[in-house]
Amino acid sequence: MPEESPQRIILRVLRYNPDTDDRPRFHDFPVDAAPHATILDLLHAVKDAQDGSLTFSRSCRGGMCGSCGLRVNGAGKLACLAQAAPEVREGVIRLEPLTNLRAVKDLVVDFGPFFEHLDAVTPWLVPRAPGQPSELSRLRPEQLRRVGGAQNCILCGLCFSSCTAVTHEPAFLGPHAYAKAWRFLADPRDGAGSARLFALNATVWSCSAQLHCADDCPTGVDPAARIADARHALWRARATRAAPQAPKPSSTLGLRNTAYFYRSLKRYGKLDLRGYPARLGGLKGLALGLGTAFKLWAKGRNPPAAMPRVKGWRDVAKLMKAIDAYEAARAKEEAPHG
Amino acid sequence: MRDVDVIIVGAGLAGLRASLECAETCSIIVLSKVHPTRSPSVAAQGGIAAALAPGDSWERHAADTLTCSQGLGDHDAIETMAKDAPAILLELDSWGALFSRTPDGRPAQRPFGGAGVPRACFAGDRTGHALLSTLYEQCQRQRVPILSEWLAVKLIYEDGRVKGVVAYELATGQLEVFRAKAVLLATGGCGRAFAATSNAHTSTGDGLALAYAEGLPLQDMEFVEFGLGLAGPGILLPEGLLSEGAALLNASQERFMARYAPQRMEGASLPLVISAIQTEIREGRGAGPHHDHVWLDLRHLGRERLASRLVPFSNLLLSSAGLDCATDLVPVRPAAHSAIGGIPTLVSGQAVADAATTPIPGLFAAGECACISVHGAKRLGGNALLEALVFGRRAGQAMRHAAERDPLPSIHRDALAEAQTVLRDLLTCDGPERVAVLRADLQATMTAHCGPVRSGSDMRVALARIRALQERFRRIRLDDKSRVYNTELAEALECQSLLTVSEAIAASALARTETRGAHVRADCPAREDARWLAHTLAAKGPTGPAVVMKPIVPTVPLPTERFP
Repeated sequence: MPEESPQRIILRVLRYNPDTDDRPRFHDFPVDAAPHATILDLLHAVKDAQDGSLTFSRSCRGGMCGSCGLRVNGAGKLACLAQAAPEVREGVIRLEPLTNLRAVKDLVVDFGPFFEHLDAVTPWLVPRAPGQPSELSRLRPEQLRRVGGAQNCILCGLCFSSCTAVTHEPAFLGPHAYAKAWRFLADPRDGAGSARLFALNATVWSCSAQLHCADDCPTGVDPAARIADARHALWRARATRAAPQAPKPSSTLGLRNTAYFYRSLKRYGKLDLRGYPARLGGLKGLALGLGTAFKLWAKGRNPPAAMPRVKGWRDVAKLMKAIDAYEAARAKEEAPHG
Repeated sequence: MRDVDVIIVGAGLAGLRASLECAETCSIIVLSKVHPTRSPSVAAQGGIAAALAPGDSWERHAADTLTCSQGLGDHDAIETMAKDAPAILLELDSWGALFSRTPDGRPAQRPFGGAGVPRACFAGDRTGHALLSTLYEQCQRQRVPILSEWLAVKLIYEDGRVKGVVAYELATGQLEVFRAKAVLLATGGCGRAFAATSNAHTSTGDGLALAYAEGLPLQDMEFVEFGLGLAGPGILLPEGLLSEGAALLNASQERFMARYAPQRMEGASLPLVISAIQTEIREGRGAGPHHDHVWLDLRHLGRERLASRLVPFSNLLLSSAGLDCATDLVPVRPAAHSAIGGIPTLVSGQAVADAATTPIPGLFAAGECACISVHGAKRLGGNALLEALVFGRRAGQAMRHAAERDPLPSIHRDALAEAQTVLRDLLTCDGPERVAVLRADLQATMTAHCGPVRSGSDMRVALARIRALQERFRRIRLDDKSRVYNTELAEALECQSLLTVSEAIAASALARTETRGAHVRADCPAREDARWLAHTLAAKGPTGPAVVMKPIVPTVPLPTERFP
């Protein structure tokens, strides 16, 4: 194997020293990068030989502990798994701390809010029955299939950092929290059941499915898919009219939206956008509806007064009924109790 | 000063399990230098052993453990661990641990290490993560008070008992005294004493150093297990690679195992392979610009086989070292993996002060930093995770009893002022030395002289170098003078821990003039039961570390002869 020579790189780090700085500033560190160095290797090289005050978090250096999340050229990565060479842009690699969390010093952020949001989803198994069981549970691998990647979360914060819903919606708990909620929702041993699911209704709909969380997650959790799973479960819970505490379709904008799309597809085989904002309900909806209608009329785009159904709309309705029946049957086997 | 019933230092598997045992009835505080979910327990990959299968029994598990320990395991501890194991698994399952399952729904168990029967339960290749997550969740449920990113810097040991700790808050640089009726040290391993290790950066043996600094002994420190590590990152390679058919080559591309184990070649026992690699490197046949590793050759296995059998490993190689094992040679060398030795304790987790096992009131230890000893001279695969949970739980029970029975002790010395002086000295010292340089020198010394194969002259050199490094440490200078989040200061404190731990390892390794299990002496290749069927205890002495022997605990001999 031919020996490659080290490459001279500038590590441009957004530094912040709370003792002396009023705001963060970039600082350039020239460093010789060994051929297969990771970003973490370079950070250590700078701290060890040039400036011991360069501050960053790390522990296992093998992608398992979740300590070393940061932004490399704007993208969320674990420093220990990010190879440096592909990240060089005109001789420079730019490093910044995660966003959506307060920078404490250099690349270290305060994970307090991240863990507080996690608490809000009751992130532990609630036993079905009191007392210690006398035997090990019997769970066939397919019964645990729905948990999927949700169990892999190492709480690294990359999803939280890249999430615009976290940035703009104070009540949104963060992709990690919904993924953790799903991990228990999908576990047949969990006894928290419907209560756990319905508690998500208030905030889970704020996700706008930009999928940065899914892209950045280093362990295959795919939080966006877990959020979709949770929303789907909320929708299905309403459909079975099971427990009295089931969320009413009118309870949140997300459920009203879903109900609207559902009815529209069943009736027309496509989305009926007439009066859509108004149908979502309330005076606000009516005002929005009138405003939208006016704008469309001003642009000369008038929606048809009569809504033509798509050809084959009956098949769409039949398919939807069949899916409903299938999901109701599966929900019965997989339903959380209690 | 904060007063509590129980202080737990370390929030890995052992520390968290102990906390669950006493959180309901005692006031407790858990101090962890990283957030609990970052604890090195998270990286454990093998499995957790328990005699669950119909053809298995705790007696068999205990017998396997005792055999593997090369006679040095304590029978009472081994019996306790093997008996407790099924209950530990049941408890983890009731808390929702996501074990891999067989098609009929039972937790799957796979063969591991030298166990006669497959008894390692596992969760994919992320067993440590699954277990740590589960314990952390239960700690959240029970609202266990955990202070994250606090380092314990001093054990308050006075009038023959432990009365608390002084701890340092990384975020603010503040020191605080915590007074308690019971202190548990659960600080994990010390692999970072070596240049190549599977261990996290934070595995620096802090708890061991805290005890040793107060004159308390450390047991069996010479037994350090080495595995096959990726040169550079040090990440441990799965043992199974060698049984998959990989070849080992030295600098001249020679398949050197032909000279050490001509029949079994790379399939020989792992310690033999590791010793062979070490010998090749020591005798100048190592590859690379520093001649410090050998090559692992997987190219002949072909992409398909690599894809189907070795996916997580291949991916990790690619992301952390940029290597494609289908086309590249993989540089490997012995990597320190787990510390068998540690703070000597009884089966209850209570620490002891001497060869007579005199208990030290107020002090407990559990997990990798404790030595009871269940592993003796060599650890059976699957027992490390089990040990942490079994004895974490027992230590928690013992501390709960201590809290009910004992009064809060009065502290007479000004422990806070002592710790403040140490910190102030580190921050203001203006010598020519850097933490990183001293640490690298220490790691190089330990790798070269206290590795998988050692000799008496090696250890003497190591001890002299460690002493010199301790001197140089007095003339250190930190770049970071801040009180806020000073990771360089934290690394300086960790470096001190490593120097202490290394001294204990080298001294114990020098004292034990035989080869047994993980301790291999090139100059004393035989096992000497007549003299050495005993533990070692290394403690700080006036002129350097002093090592004495401590008897093992035999009870009724376990029926080892029944099982091959």
